[in-house]
Amino acid sequence: MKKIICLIMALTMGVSMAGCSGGKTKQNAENITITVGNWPDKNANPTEYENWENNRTEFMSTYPNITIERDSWNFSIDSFLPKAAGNQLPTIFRIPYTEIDKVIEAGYAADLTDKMKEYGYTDNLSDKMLDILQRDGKIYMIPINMYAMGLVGNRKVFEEAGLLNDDGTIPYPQTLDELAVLAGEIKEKTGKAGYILPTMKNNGGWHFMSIAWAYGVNFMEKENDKWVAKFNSPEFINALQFVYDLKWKYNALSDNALIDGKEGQKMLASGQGALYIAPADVFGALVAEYGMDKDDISIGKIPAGPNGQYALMGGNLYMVPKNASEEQIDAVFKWAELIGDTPKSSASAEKTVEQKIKSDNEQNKVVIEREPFKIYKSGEMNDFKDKVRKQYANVNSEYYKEYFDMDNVQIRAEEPVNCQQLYSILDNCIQSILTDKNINLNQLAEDAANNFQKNYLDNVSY
Amino acid sequence: MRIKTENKRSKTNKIIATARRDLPAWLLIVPFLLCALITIWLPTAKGIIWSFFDMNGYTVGEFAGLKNYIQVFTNTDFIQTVLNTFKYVFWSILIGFWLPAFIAILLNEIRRGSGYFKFAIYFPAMVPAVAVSLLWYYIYFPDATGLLNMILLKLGMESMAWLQNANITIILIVITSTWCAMGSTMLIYYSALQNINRDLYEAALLDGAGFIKRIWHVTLPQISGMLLINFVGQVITVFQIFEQPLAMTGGGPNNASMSLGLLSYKYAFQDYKVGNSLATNMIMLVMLIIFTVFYFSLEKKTDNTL
Repeated sequence: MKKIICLIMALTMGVSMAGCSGGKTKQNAENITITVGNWPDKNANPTEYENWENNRTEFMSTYPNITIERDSWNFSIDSFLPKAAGNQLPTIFRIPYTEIDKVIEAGYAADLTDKMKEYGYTDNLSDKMLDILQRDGKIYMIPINMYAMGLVGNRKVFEEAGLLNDDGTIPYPQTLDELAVLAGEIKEKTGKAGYILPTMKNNGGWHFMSIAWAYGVNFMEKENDKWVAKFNSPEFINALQFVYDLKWKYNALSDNALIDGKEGQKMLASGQGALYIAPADVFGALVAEYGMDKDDISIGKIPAGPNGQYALMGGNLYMVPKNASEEQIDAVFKWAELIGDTPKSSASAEKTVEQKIKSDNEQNKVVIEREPFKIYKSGEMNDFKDKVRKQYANVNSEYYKEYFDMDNVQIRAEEPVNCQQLYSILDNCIQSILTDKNINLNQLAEDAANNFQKNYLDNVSY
Repeated sequence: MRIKTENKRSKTNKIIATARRDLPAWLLIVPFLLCALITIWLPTAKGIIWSFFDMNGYTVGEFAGLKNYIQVFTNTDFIQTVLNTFKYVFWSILIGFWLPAFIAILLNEIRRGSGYFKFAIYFPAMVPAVAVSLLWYYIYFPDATGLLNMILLKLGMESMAWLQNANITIILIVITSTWCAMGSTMLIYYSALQNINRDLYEAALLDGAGFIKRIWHVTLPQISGMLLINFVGQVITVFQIFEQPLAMTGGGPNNASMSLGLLSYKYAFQDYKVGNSLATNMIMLVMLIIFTVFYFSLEKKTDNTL
C-alpha cells in the first residue's frame, strides 16, 4: 500500500512538474500574443479605429492562437528610449525612415533578415530599396511606404501673387537659381515667404540635403576604416551661398529664422508661405492638422543645381523590438500581410487597403491616383493599390504631374553615418546665415566640417 | 565601577528616551525616505556608475572609463555651452533674484490693494508652461506681427530679431522664466517679511530711519537667511535650465542659447547617446556641488567674522 501511495505521489509530482516546465513552453509555442502599436484613438479617429478593430477580429479568427493587444503609442523621439528601456515597446510599431539608425545603434531592433527572405520579400524589393534597408547585410524593418522629397506648393499663395499658370498649375522652377528668383518675387508681391526653409530640430539639415547634393556636396567618405568629413569644399560653400542669397539677396524667406518642420508645415498650410521641400506623405498633416484645402496642394520636383537634380528618400517602416520571439516575429509578418503592407494579396489585405483609401477619400484627405514610389518590383498588391487609388483619387492629377516625372532625378538615401547629427550641424549653419548678414561662409563651412569630424565621425567605430 | 555602570545605564536610558521621542517622526519620514531612495538616490547612483560605461540605449555595455566624459569635454560646442549656462545663471541672478525681493518689500509697504497686486504678480505662475512659451513666442516674434515689434514700429523704430539675435537670446529667455517664477518667490519673501517684528521698524522710525535705511538695517538682515536659500536654489535651478530654450529656440541660433541641461537632453533623446548624457549630468552635478560647498563655507566664514 505504502509503495502504491509513493508511486502515485511520484507520478503526481512528475506530471505536475512536467506541467510546470514544458507546459509553459508549449503554451508559448502555441498561444502567442503580439502588441500592435499606432492603434487609432476611438474618439479622435472612429473610422480608422473601426477598421483596425475589424482587422483584429479577422486576424484572431484566422489565427486563433495569436492574440493581438492594442497599443496607441506612436513613435516619438522623446518617448522611444524610456519605453524601450522598460520593455514596453509594442511588438510592431511604425517608425519614420529618418529615425531607424538610432534605434538599430541603440540595440533595440530585431533582425528580420531571415523572415524577410522566408516570406519572399527580400528578392522582390525594387531597385535601391535593398541598399536603403540593409545595415551591414541585415534588414531590421518591413517597409510600408517610401517616397522622394518634393517641392510642395500652396496654389492659393501663387494665385495671390498672380503667378499661377492658366491651367491652375504652379510654374515649378527647374533650377535652384530659378527657385530663388521666383520665391523672391512671391515675397515681394504677397509679403509671404516665397520659400519656407526650416532651421530647427534637425529639419533644416534634412531639407537642405537635396539642395547640397544638387551643388555636388560630398559629405563624408570612408578612408582606411575611418569616416572622414569631406564637406569643407567649394561645393558646400556654394550651397550655403544659395541659402544666403535666398535670405539676403532675394529676401525670399520668412523673417522668422527659427522654424522646425511642424512650423514649416503650418506656414505652408495657412498660406504664410508658397513653397516647401517636403516628403510626399506630408499632405495628410497639411489637411488634417492644419486645415489646408486639399485642392490648394501641389507638388513638383526639387529643382536642379549645378551637379544635377536630387531628392532625398524617406518613408515609413515597421520595426520589431529585439526581445520579440521567433513566433512573435512571424505573427508580425502575418499581421502586416493581413493589413496589406506587403506585396502579398489576400481578400483581407485588399479589403483593408481599399477601406483605408476609401476612408481617406471620405475624410477629404488627399488621394493621388498612384503611389509615389513602389517598394516591391511585383506583387498583386501593387496592381491592386493602383486600381483602388485610381478609383478613389480626389485631386487634380495635373497638380502632381511634375512630381511623378522623376526620370532625371537621382533619388538618394540618407548619408551612411550620423545623419541626424549632420542635420543638427547643418541646422546651425543655416541659422547662422539667416541671422548674420556678414557671415563668413568659408569659415562656416570649415567649422561645420571640423565639428562634425571631431564630435561625431571620430567616435564612429564601424 | 559602580559609577561607570550607572553612567552606561543613564546613557542607554537617554538613547531609549530619544528613540521613543523621535520614533513617530522617523515613522512619518520613512515613506518619504523610501520614495527619495527609489526616485532620486538610486537613479543618481546608477547614473554616476553608468556614466563610466558604454551604453546602448539604457542597456549597460562594457566599462568605458572616462570615454563618455572625454567625448563630452572634447565636443566643440561644450565650452560655449558651459559659458552659456553661466550666462543664464548670471542674468537670472541679475534680473530674477532681486526683483521678487524688491517687489515683496514694496508690497509689504502697501496698505491698500496689496491683495490685487499679489494676485497679479502671482498669476503668471498659474499659466501652463506651453501657454507661456506660446505667449512669449509671439511677443518676441521677429516680424511685424510680434508684439514688441508692433510697439517699435508704432514708435517709428525698426523692428528687431529678438530671440534670433544671438547677443540677447539668453537675456530674453531669462526674462520669460523670471516672469513665470517671480510670483512664487515673491510670496515666500512676502511671508518672511510679514513675520518681521514690527517693533524693529518702530524702533528704526524713532531713530529717524527713512525707507531705504529701514530696508538696509531691518528688512534685509531679517530675511537674509531666506535670501541665501533662494540664491542657492535659484543658481541650482537655473544651472539646469532646459525647457525654456528647448521650447523657444531649440538652443539656437547656432547654439547661442544651448545650456548644459539642453545638451544633456539632446544627447539622451535626440542622439540616444545615454552615456554622454549621463556624463554631462555628472559634470553639472560636480559643478553645483563645488558651488554649494564654496558658497556655504563663504557664508559660514562671514558669519564667524561678524
